[in-house]
Amino acid sequence: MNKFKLSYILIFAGLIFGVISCRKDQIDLTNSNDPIFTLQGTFDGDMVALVAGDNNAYMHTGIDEENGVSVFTGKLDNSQIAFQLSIFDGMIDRPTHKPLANIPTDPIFALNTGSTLAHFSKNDFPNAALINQVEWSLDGNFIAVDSFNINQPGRYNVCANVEFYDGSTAMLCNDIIVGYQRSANARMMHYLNPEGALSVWLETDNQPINKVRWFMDGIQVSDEMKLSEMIDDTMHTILAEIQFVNGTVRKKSMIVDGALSGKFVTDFTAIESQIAVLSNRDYNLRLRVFNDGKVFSSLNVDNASSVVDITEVKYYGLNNLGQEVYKIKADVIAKVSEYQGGPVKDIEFTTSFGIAIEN
Amino acid sequence: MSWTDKEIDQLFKESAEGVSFNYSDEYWKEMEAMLPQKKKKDFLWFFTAFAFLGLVSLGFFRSVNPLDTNVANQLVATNTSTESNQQNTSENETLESSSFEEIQKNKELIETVEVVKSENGMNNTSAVNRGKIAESNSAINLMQNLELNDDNESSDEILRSPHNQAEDVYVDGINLGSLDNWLISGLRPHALSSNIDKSLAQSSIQPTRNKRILVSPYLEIHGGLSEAPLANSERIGNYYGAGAGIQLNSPFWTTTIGMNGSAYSFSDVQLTHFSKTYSYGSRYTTHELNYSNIYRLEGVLSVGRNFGKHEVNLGLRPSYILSNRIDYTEIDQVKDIRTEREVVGYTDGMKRFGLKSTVGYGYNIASTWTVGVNVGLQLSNTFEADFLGNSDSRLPFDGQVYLRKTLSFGK
Repeated sequence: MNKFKLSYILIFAGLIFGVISCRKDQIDLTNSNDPIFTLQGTFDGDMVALVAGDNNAYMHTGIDEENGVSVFTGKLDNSQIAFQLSIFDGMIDRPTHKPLANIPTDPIFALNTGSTLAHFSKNDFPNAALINQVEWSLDGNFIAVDSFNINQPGRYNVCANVEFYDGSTAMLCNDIIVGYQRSANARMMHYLNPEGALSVWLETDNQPINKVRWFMDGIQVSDEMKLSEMIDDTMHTILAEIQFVNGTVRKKSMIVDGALSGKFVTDFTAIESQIAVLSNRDYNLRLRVFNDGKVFSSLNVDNASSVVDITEVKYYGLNNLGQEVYKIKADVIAKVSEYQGGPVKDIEFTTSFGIAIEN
Repeated sequence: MSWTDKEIDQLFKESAEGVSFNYSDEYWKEMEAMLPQKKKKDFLWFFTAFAFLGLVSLGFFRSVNPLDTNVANQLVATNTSTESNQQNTSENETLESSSFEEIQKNKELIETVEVVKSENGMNNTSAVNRGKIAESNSAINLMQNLELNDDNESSDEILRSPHNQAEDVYVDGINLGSLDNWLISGLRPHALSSNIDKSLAQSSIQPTRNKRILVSPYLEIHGGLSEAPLANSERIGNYYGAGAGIQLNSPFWTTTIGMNGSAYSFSDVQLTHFSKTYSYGSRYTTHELNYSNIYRLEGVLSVGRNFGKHEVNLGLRPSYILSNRIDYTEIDQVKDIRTEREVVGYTDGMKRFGLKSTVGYGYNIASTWTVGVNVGLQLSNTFEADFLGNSDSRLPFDGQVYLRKTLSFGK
């Protein structure tokens, strides 16, 4: 055997060992860990201890939408009792807002007053004398004729189908925000002279406007601060997409009557400015307890004296919907009731809770 | 230091006068040094990565056939006294003769020498080196020119081997001494000049024992049985593999340094892990790892005592687990889902470095073939203690049979 044969053997053996040693599969031998999501405390005087992963308890997380507003929610449920913590979104008129960054460490509980937040009526239109009736719809669903109320905070799309006495109709839809902070607002004003020269402008609540895009009958016609157009004698829908300097974006629309017969429909969302709101719901908290087939909610009780102390907010991971979940450690003292005026149940607990939050 | 031929002659004459010498086998070692030499020949040393020692050695095998080494250009002539005249022992004198360079130039192989076994009939072909002798007439002539005479003892007396059981070497009927002494340097006198006459054999040139060590590379295959490294394993595993290395041979001792690669096969080396991991819920999982194969690189370090064709050795074998093959089963206890797959190279929880003590026996079945057995005991656990779970570790015994081929790179 010469050195070349020996070299061959050794190299060949080396290759075999090399191949064997190169492949390295992995096994996910995850070690047992401590529970992540827990709740310990009392509900109506009874001890409660929930651990996600024990006794069929599971930490459900998600982002719901209620009345057009995102609600960041977690629900720790063991099939016998469940605790749900929800945080209402805020600054909803700012498309670029970051909910996580704006959640306070000591949020307050939302309160369901049950009172009217907004009232819509045919008589609120300046040309009500020409209007036979108005059919109101909310988020695409017919609500009432001539007048209706909104009692829950939210962002709604309100449509008024106006029927004039001469039988002609006009439909106008607008977004309206009630029960939540409005960072800026504006009202549409217009003037149409007999020659058909239309002027439309905006009156704001001291918030400067950054940019406006004007649409007439669905077609953008201008991006000036004031719309000046010659129109014919038919009815035209004017839409203003307003971008404020503070990031707020609102849409306002109205219907002008080119024939100057008075069959115009004004921007009825001006009512927003007239809504008297004791407190907005931005980043408020809601606590629900599901027990024995009943739902006890903090909305039904005045929780002004309740305490929520968030001690830690930490990203945990994604839920099965791909939403970011944050682990929130908090100490909670609150009251809940099955309905307004019903028996109040005290709750006190310490929790490490999972809530899905937009970021 | 250089000597002229004349000076050398004079030196030996003076040393030999009035002095008689006992013949000693080991003097032949000196003769070896006088035989023609070859230039060192480089051989490929095997390359081995031995992570346990943190040592990567790279070298080349080189022939250390004493007849091929230029070490032999050193002639050591020793005048030793006879038993009756021990006081007159002369000093060893070393002659670095320029004439040897000429010898090298003129070397040629000469006639074959018969190796006649001694009366005890032992076959000493088990010796580690079966190299051939190549010598030159020039060297022999040089020896003859020394004209050293021994007038005191008969050749019969001189040629008696000091080792009763060792075979003697005869050249043309002349006993050249114990084969053991030839084997000291791994030399087997296959060829020797027929021109060597009795006067040479009886000459008073008494070479000193050459203490060089023969280095011989080898290749081997092996297989064996091994206990499992887990106490709850009941079945014996087996393993097989191959190796290479070198043997350092002296007359009575053999030191082996090598590297073996072995594949161990087990049928019931299984570790089971349970884990409960919490998240939004929890996951209770059983992990079953059945180590069906363990691939181990094993260093061979042993020292053996030679008894003719037999060798008994003690050794240590540091080892490194290169890889493994695991039949892995994951059982989701909650969802009752069972997933099986083969995993290669997952060594988490294993102590990749190990150490084994061995006792071995080898028997030379042919000139370059050896069979042997080793019994080993692992001195360190294969698995980390915190990886065992409910299992207990074991220091396994194993037995191995090997067949080893000693390589010769010379002619």
